[in-house]
Amino acid sequence: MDVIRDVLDNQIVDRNQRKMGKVDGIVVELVEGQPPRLAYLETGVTTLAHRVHPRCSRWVAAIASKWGAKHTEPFRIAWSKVRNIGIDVEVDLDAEQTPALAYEVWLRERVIKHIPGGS
Amino acid sequence: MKKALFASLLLVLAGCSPSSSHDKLVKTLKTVQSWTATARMVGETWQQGSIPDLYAQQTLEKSQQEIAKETKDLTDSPALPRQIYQLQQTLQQMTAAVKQHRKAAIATPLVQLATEQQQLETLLKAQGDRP
Amino acid sequence: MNKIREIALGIVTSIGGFLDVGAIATAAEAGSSFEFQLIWTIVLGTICVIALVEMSGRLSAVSKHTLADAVRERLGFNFFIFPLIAEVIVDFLVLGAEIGGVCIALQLVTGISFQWWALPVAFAIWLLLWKGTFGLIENGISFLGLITLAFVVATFKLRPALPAVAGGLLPTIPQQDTAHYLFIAVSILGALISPYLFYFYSAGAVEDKWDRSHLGVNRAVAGLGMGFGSLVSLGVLIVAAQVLHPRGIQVDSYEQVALMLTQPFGYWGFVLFAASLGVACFGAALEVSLDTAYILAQAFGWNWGETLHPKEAARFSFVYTVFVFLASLLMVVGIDPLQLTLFSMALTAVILPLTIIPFLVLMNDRSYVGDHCNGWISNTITIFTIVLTFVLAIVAIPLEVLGG
Repeated sequence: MDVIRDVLDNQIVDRNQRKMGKVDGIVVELVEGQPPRLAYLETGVTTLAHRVHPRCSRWVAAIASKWGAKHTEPFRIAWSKVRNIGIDVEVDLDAEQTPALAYEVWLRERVIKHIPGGS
Repeated sequence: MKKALFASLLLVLAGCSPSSSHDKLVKTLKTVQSWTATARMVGETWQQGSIPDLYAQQTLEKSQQEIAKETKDLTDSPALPRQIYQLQQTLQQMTAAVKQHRKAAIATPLVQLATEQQQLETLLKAQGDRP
Repeated sequence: MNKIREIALGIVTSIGGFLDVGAIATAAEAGSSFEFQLIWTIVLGTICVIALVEMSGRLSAVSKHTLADAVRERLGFNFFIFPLIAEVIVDFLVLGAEIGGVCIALQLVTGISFQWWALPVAFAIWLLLWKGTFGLIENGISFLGLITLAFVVATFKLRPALPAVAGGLLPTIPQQDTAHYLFIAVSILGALISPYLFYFYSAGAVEDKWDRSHLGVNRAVAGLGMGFGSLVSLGVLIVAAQVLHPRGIQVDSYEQVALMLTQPFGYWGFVLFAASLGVACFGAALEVSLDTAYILAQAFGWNWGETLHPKEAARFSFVYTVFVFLASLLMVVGIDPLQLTLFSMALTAVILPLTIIPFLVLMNDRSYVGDHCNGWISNTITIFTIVLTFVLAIVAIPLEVLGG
């Protein structure tokens, strides 16, 4: 399996096939004397921004810390939680319970529900 | 190297642009012609009852505005300002006829407009024959 | 039997939805300024868009990914961010122009300035997106769009000289007004080969749950739907050539274009033009708004879908809500709708290569399209479109800007 091609930038879906972001980053564990181990998947806009340019992620974090859900930390999913890798990366989690949907939930509760027809 | 190429490209393009006053005059005349033709078609179709009054009035007024805008800085060709003035007068008469809903009243200015259109065309041709 | 119905529906909606503000404005400009000389541009643009739309559909049907998903996955975010940002900017300007088109149609009929209509129109667009389903938007509005067939009927009524029309099929470059001619050619290509079409079409294929069994439907809809749709565009050009060009009217403003159908149809012609403009632009505005929400949602992995209730796709719904109202401000402040249209069409042509290059990669990658890789024809058309739009954009736009 080619991690960069088959995992990075792919869609993450939870156990109910609900979309919960893309694989924005991969965290690899380096232990001396052993091959690198895939430790976590990372999803979050700051991780994504970091890939474009490290300074980008600082700006993005600054904006995110002031707006909406005020959530800046990327969400890490342990590799052990990955159930299947096909079109999407299926993980054994419930998206609503994770911070991956922090802004989605914030917008839903604070904005969308207050617009007629939104609830 | 890149800077030199870009600079020479700009120079070439600048040379191609119509900066001469002759070209500007031709462009002005063409725009005036276009809006005159528009006004004429508006007048004719309004006479036939094919367009609503409000649209006809607004488009005639727009024609006047566009012609005024285009001929604002005209200093060449001494005959032109007077022709433009007459043109605007004709357009004004047409607009008045539309405002008063008098279809019969637009017939005369329409004929006048056709003549003025011819004059513009002659003027444009004369410009085209110049080197 | 079901597939036949799908094909028929797809073709009808493609014809009804073909025209938008860009297609109308550029075809009218072309016909009024250069008579039949630019017909080849419409034909060329149509061939390119048929090929690219078919590819979008094929990609989504086989890979179950949308175009935006696939580009980010296969080429990485660091590449995708460029076409993404470019597309959002262009979508913004195009949406402003489409809203402008609807507002002008209302201005023609009521006399009230288009600036006053901008916010009400934006609200109507938003309401339909908020409450409507994908099926209603794709099919309902496109059916109404069949009113644009008035231009095709008008073409037959006006009886243009066939040799002259056929002559327009050959690319020629005039000696006079060359810069303006090339600029309109570029704008026509930008109007016909709109990136929002591919992203929208591929998202639609996923919304409609297409699979490999739909590949035939896809080919038929892309080929026949776009092909017949282009006849409407040609209709606009030919009518402008027959009605406006002989009178010496060069289109600088939508008021002049409105006169087009009065010659063949009298008063009904005026009404038909306003209705065609209004409906076509309204439909396109819905698509462009959705397109922006689609590509942002798909770029970042949010929940998306028009048929989903807004609270199930909060970020997606939020994006199109904000976008529609922001774009309408362009009209509120009084930017000339025709100038905005032509500018955004030219800009579309400039960013086209960025959007199309991923096709070359994805459509030849077995992990995405399996056995249905591009043949040499599709690849050739893709490369040709990239090179053509790139060259024309580089040449024509500076010339027009400096000369105009």
